[in-house]
Amino acid sequence: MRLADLIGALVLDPEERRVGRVSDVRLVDEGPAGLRVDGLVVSPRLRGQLLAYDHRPVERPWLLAYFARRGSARALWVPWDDVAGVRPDERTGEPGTVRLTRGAGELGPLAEAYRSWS
Amino acid sequence: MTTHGPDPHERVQGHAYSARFHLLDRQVVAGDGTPICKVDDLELTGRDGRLYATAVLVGPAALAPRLRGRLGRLVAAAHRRLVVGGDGAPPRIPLERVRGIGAAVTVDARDLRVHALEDWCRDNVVGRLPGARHAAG
Amino acid sequence: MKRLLAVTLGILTAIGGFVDIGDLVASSLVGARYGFALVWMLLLGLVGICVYAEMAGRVAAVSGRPTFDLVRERLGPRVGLANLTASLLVTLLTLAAELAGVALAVELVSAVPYLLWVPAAGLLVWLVIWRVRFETMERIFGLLGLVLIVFIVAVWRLSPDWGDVLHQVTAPKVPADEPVPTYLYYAIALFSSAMTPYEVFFFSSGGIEERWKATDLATVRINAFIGFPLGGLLALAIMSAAALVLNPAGVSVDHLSQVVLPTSVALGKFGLGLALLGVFAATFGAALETALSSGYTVAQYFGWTWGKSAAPRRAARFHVVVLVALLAGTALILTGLDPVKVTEYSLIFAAVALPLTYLPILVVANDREYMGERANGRLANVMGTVYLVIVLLAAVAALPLMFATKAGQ
Repeated sequence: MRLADLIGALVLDPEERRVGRVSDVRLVDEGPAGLRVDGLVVSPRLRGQLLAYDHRPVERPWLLAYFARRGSARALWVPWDDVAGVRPDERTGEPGTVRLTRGAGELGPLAEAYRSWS
Repeated sequence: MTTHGPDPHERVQGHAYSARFHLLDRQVVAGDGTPICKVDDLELTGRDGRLYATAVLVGPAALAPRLRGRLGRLVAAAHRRLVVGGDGAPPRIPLERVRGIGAAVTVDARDLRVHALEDWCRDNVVGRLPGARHAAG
Repeated sequence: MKRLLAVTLGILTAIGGFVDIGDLVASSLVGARYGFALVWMLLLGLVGICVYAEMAGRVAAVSGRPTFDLVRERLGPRVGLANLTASLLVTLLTLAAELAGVALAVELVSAVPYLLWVPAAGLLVWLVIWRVRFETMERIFGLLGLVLIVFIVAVWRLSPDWGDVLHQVTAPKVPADEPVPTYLYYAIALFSSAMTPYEVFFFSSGGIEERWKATDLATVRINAFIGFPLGGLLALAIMSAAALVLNPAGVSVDHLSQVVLPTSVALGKFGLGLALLGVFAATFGAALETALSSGYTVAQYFGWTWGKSAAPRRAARFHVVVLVALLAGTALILTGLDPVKVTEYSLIFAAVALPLTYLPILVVANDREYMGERANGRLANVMGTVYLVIVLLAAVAALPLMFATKAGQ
């Protein structure tokens, strides 16, 4: 599987309801074991990603930071354990589908996850 | 030519990375800073119920899916037609060779072969022009 | 002294933005048509490119990353490809025009039709890229291009009423018989060409070719704040000379021969000769800049080894791109297209390329993971954000104005 199958993938909860799209993937370096996929950042927005920004918090310049914050305000954090499965699309260039084990309401917002990481 | 900048960040156990920011589309450089390629995609492999990034994927075959939609399919088809033989799998750099992830991704570049186009250009165009070995500076 | 001479990279880059063939004619045309009423736009564009050149240069020196590398990294491969396509079109159209400009300068001296000189110009540009050291190339064409200062001497010789000039500059007025949309079209065209993307691509890549490090920030600043303004000064001089000589005489500019007319009026044959030498050096320098930028942008999008400093064998794809760009430019001009019209149309693609180029620079210059303590301070951020907004407005207005005024008729 490739990262291209994950990024932009449609995320569905156990009832096949749309949660959002995968916006980013967090990887943790486990040394000789490699880079482990820690979890997914899911954005409930209808389309698109932030241009030039990802989900790390940004403060400056303040005008762009304002748009970046608004863009990632409702992002959700999905630890890898909450992922039931990933199904890549057969056609090249189409994102896959990710199925979760829990509903959207049980997932924590990204902002909380950031606090626990730093 | 060499690039330079702050010392490439050595990989540190426990350090977390954002795939979109720190890895995808980052420049891959050799130890001395010479640009090699871009991280066009990452190969993911399942192991013990977990998912690991196991290699950097390089080249049009790796980039095409990320271009999305019809554009991606067009690039993939064009690449397949231009490349004779092979199985269409993109060249890969195993993650063990990645020494550091900083402003660029530093890899151990010994014996690395990712450049069919570079070899072709060198042998058929640039190499035939006088003075191709001379570094202008 | 060496540090001061390092300013030539900034001068050469700015030459491509302010006195390449398109701008030579545009500055002169604007001066002839509007007098001093568009000087403010030239200055506005100059400040903008100085701000972003400093940022792009600082990012290149501290993190070792050239600008187009960051464009793909921050915008992603799809939007990055859109920028690559647009920027490449602008750069190639400009390269074609510059080769014609070199040939036109030689035509004015030799009376041999310029189309015959175009292939020679292309070959010569390629030879300089292939064999001449980057620093030497930068010094020669940067300093020779400064010969255009003869226009400043011409302006001074014409003894204008400085009070009146100052008034016209600070209180610009569109002449009564000129439509306002056309005035705005030229304003945007001047601004766009002052901030053309290939300037930052060339400047940041050139800085890396020159091995800038984090300790070279003084060099970056000297280039951004002295080198670039020198280039802008040349455009200002050409505009002023046209405003003082061509405007009162009602001469309209559509050929290089009218651009250099003021120097022959003010300084005779000697002045004219110097002006032509300056035009030759400036257009040749701009041809070098655009040819190299074509290579830089393509190679940096795909991550290829790039640069003219190392042996060509080591960056074969980069050199092939430069070669193809020169061949394409030569072929385009040999079809007989008017070189100046060609640069006007590049404005269409510049409208797309400009915002997509400057946004990544501003974002990365603020990122402490790249820049450490050298991330943007408040002034750089304020100026950077203001200019990003201006660039966006210019991009939105450029296309409608271009169609409405039929490219400035």
